Amino acid sequence: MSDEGGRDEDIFAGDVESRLERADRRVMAAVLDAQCRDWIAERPDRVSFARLGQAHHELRAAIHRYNPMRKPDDWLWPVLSTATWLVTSLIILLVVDEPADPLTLAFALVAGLIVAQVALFLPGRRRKHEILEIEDPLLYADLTNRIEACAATARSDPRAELRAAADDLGRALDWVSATRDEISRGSSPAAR
Amino acid sequence: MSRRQLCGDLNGVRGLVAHGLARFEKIGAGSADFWVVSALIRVRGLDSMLVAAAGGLSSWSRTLISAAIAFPLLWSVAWTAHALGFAPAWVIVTTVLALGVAMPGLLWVTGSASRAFDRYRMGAPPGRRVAFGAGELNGEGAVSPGDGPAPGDTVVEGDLDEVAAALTRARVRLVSAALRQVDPERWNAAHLARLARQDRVLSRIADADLLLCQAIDFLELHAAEQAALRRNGSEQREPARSGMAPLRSRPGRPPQVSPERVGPAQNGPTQNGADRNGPTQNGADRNGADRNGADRNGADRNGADRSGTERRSV
Repeated sequence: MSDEGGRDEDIFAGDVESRLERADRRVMAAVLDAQCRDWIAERPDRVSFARLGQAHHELRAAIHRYNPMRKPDDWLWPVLSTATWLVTSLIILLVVDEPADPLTLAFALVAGLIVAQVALFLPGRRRKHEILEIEDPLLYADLTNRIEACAATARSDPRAELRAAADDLGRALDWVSATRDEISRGSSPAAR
Repeated sequence: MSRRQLCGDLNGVRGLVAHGLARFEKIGAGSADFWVVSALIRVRGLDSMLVAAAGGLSSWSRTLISAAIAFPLLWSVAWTAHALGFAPAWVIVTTVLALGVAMPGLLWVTGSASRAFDRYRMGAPPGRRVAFGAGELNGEGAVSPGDGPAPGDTVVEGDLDEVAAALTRARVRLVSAALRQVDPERWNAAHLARLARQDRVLSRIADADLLLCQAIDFLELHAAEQAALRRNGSEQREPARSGMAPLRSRPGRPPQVSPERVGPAQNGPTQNGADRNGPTQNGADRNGADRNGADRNGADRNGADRSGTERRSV
């Protein structure tokens, strides 16, 4: 199902937060895929991805309890553009005669900003996202395993605010199984 | 493809959502039902998401704006440091630090400029507008302030169906607005999913669409639950199991899907199936009655009353 190497296969790899992040990424992949297929009427079903979206919401709430600062999805590009900015400004300052002149200095730093913006538009930024199908029964077994493992860890945590994350994860599990119900037998009243 | 068309589309969606929300606020504002409250929260947040879906400023304009602000700022900082008699190296260090300090401020300025630009492009919120025409709402006409049940009135189920119908129409328009942003030759799931991650407009439309679908789903679950309650109440006088086990004991929580519903068909799929089909048919019947029945208000109100007492006795 996934091809991001062995680390992604092992549901116990890493700390709880990154395990939850990986589960959330899988949920989001399935939601987006189902939503887009609903848009183009390839698989018209607006209920199941809405319910799985709830699971995403609960997972985010649990992750937020572990780490209130949201990690950027992609840390490479912010770092790279900051580095571009620094390097560009530095080169300009080294080249000019009088780097401490106020006008030159301001110009060099602003030019660095603009060049860093250009660097963001270079090709090759495309990142491979895995595609998960919402009607795949294996997806639900996998998600349930992952979330339950994290919930077990959270439940036995000595810190009370992290034990509360287990409640969020329980709700996420409820929504995952509600989605599975919807997929497998159309439990929604909307299945007309 | 054009920006103006996108704004027009989104404003149409906003009109429909505002129409649904106006009805919904009248009906469901005092309700304690989990599904109704959750759906209401989602619909309330929709308008701002739809405004944000107009796209804001591109990252290029943001960069240029922040460059235009940063240049005089850095120049004055460097000039001041120079005038204070700092060594050249310290002038450079001070200026770089000033840029680092000013960066959050610059991000805030560009962010609020982008939001203000969105608001300017999209116009006023359509809440008080009666502009969304009667034709668009299937001849039901726009809502007038005196419409809907009086304050002390009980909840009329048919009206929630109407809200769900308005939201469904809004969703149809939202999806067509999203698809109009994409080249028809590339209407495939992989390309759309990639755009929904990266494109500013499409990702916001996808978020808004998710909220809208959740609200519609909750309203349908609520209707099914009410129908099942009413039916079971008249038959056996005991609480019903509707499509998903409702949470009367724990308001504010998502469904506790009980194991027997998840496990492979232990408590009789036929019974479940009947349970499931019931609400749908009831809903369809009620919808039919909605269109032409004036007396169904009384009947429905009775039904709602009954389910209300049923609920209290649970």
